[in-house]
Formats: sequence, structure tokens, C-alpha cells
Amino acid sequence: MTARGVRFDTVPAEARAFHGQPAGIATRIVANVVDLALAGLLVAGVYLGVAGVLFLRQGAAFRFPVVSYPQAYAAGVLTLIAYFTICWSAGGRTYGDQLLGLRVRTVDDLDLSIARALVRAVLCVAFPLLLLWVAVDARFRSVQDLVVRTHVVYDWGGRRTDVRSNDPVGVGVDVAPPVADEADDGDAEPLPGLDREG
Amino acid sequence: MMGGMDEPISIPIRDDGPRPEASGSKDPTTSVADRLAERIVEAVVLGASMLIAAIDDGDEEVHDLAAAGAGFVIEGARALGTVMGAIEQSVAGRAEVASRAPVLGELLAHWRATWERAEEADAPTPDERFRGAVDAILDRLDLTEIVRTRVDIQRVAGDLDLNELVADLDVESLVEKVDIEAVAAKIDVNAIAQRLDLEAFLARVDMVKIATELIEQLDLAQLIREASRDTASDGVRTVRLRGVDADRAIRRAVDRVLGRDDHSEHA
Repeated sequence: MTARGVRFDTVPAEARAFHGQPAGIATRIVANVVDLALAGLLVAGVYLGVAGVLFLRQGAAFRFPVVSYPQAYAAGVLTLIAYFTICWSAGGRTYGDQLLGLRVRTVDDLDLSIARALVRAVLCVAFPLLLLWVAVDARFRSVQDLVVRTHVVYDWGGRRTDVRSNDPVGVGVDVAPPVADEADDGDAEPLPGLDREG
Repeated sequence: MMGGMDEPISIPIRDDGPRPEASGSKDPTTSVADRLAERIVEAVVLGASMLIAAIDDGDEEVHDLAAAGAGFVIEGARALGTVMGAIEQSVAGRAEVASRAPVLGELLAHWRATWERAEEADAPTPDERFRGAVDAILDRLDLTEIVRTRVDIQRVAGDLDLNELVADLDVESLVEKVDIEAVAAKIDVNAIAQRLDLEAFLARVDMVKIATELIEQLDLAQLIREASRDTASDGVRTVRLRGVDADRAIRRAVDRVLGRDDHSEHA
């Protein structure tokens, strides 16, 4: 008896049509903007934290610490690099990626190592405009992606698991509810919103 | 007919001196030719008598002619018997002498042995006679009934070593000869399913154990965690969908500008 796979698909129904496909320039820019803002908030938070400690120590003589622009820039850059490195190597996505439903993977569809994540973070922070290459690249890859052999894909969470089974009928199991009026066939399909616009 | 005379007419025949006793004599010394001649004479005498008795017109000339004809025939037969006797005596002596010759004698002995063997071959052997007898007995017996009433089938079956019997079976070749599709087509699954006592069957199944094993093998807990961990709100899903729409719109525009096939890498 031939063993067939039983697929457990926990990918949200709306995202099954494009799950795992490379993401475009718009979502990636928005995600980076979100991450940049978050990094700014982090830096600001650190600044306020340091100021709070100083206030407790100096009392009435407290003055907000003066930070020069290069210092602030360096702090922001380091924060961003650290943030990217930790997020990409830990789960493959930053908060901006999470918000937009993106994930960074190697071209071999593996998680990023810390080294690869660090190199990619440095390149992304140092040369942010190289991200625009995504718009014209045939495979939706930025220059940083080309250098470190990564790509960014749509990933709204969940996964498709093929479990080997002796079930001769090969019944597939959908954990998440299917798209209305259409079962998931695993093929790329146009988005409802896109169809309306087109 | 000749004045009502019924007894046969005495026909004068040649006197050959002292004749053998009677025509029915069984003298073993009488030659074959003599006996043959006697039989012919008897037959002619009987035929002539019957012919003469059958003629009712009383014409004595006819009677005399018939008697004369019969006499000639009888006389001729006697002469023939004498000639044949002489031939028999002369040839028999020579044949006996010839059979004593080494080559001819051996040949005759070979023919005789061959003839005896052929007769022996045709005769049923003791084994064949025995088989015939057994067949005749078996034909008169109802063996099936005898086995059914007098044999303890259960006891015989209990002594059978089925494993040894099955060990020599070529099951694969047997299965290859079976048309499974045809057999399956004749099976009424619905009828079988209706006869199944599913409740009794399920009562014997440890569903909890099966479910536990399934959950462990499929890592169901992990699946549920993954399905629920990234659950996004409606607002986030809307933002994501809009982002994907924007990606594709930009891609179409860029493709149009660059003259590339639409979504060639996305498919």
C-alpha cells in the first residue's frame, strides 16, 4: 500500500494563495518604516531611562543629558543593527515584518544564522536605499538579499505539514477554515482586493 | 415319389476296400484329408437325399440323374481326399525334417515364443485383476456416506498440522490467479456495513489510546500553537492584504515599464 501524505495546513485562509511567495517592495518598505520607528522609540526609551536614573541621582540639579547628533545617530544605528540581528536570527521577522506578514528566509528556505543576520542587518542599515532593487528584481530580492542569499516571503503564520500516512484515501485535513466557496489547492490565486482593482 | 418310398436311396459308390468305421469316427490316426473327404461325402449324401425327396413329379430319370450326379461328386471327393492325404503325408514329413534344421527350427521357436508372449501380454495381470476387483467393490459402496457416519472428522482435523500444509503452498501464485477486481465488484459493501455491529466494535476499541497516539505522532499541540500564535486582528489582516495588493500593483507597473511578462516569477 502506497503511503500518502496527509496535509495539515495551519496557514490562515486569506494568505494561502500567496503563502511563501516573495514579498514586494511596498510591504517591505512599510515594514522597515515600522522597524525604524520602533528603533527610534527604543533609542528614545533608553535616553529617557538614562535621564530617569540621572534625575533620581541628581535631584534638583538634574538636567537632561545632551546628546550630540553623531551620538544619537550611532546609537540609532547600533540599536537597529542589534534589533535586526536578534529578530531575524531568532524568528526570521522583526515587528514590522510581523505586522505586514513577512519573514526573512535563506534562499534554501532555512532560518537565518546569527552571522548571516548580522551581515544582512549591517547592509540594510548602512545602505537602506538598496532595498529599492526589490522593485525591479525578477525574484523580488534586494541587493542585501543577493549578497547574503536571502529573500523575504509572505508568511502570516502557520505552516503546511505533510504527514506520511498509510491512509489509502489520502484525506487532507484543514485546521484553519478554508476560503469561502473554494478549497485550497495550493496554487497561486489572485487576491480578492486585487481583482476588484484590476 | 417313387412309390411312396421315404428311406434314402442306396447309392453305389466305389469300393475302396475296408473303409473306416463310420463317418463320425474319431480315430485320431485318420488324416485330416480323410476326415475332410468324409464330411464332404456326408454332406453330398444328405443334400442328394433331400433333393430327391423334394422332387414330387415321380420322374425316375431325374432321380437317376441326381443320384448319378451325387455319386460323381462323392467319388470325386473321395479321390480328392486320397490325393490330399498323400500330399499331407509327404509334406508333413518334409516339414518335420525342415523344422529340425537349425535355422528354421530357431525361427519357428522364435515365432512360438513371440506368440506365447503376445498371449501373455493380452491376459490381465494379477495386479490388474486386483484393481478391477477393488473398483467393482468401490462402485457398490457409498464412501461419502460411510465417511460421514463412521469417521470422526473433528478428531482427524485435530491431528492435522495446518502450518506444515500451508508452508508448501505458493500463496503468491494463488493470489495472482485470483481476479481481485472481479471479486471486489461482487461484494456489496453496504450490505456488509449494515450487518456490522459498529457499537460493539467501537466498545472494544481503546479510542483514548488511539487518539493519544495520533496526537503525539501528528504533534497536534504544536499545530494548534502555530495556528493560534500568529492570529492577527482584522485590522492587521486588512493592512497585510493591502500591502500585498500594493506589492502586486507596483510589480505590474514595473513589469509594464520594463516590458517583462506579467508576474512571471510569482506564478
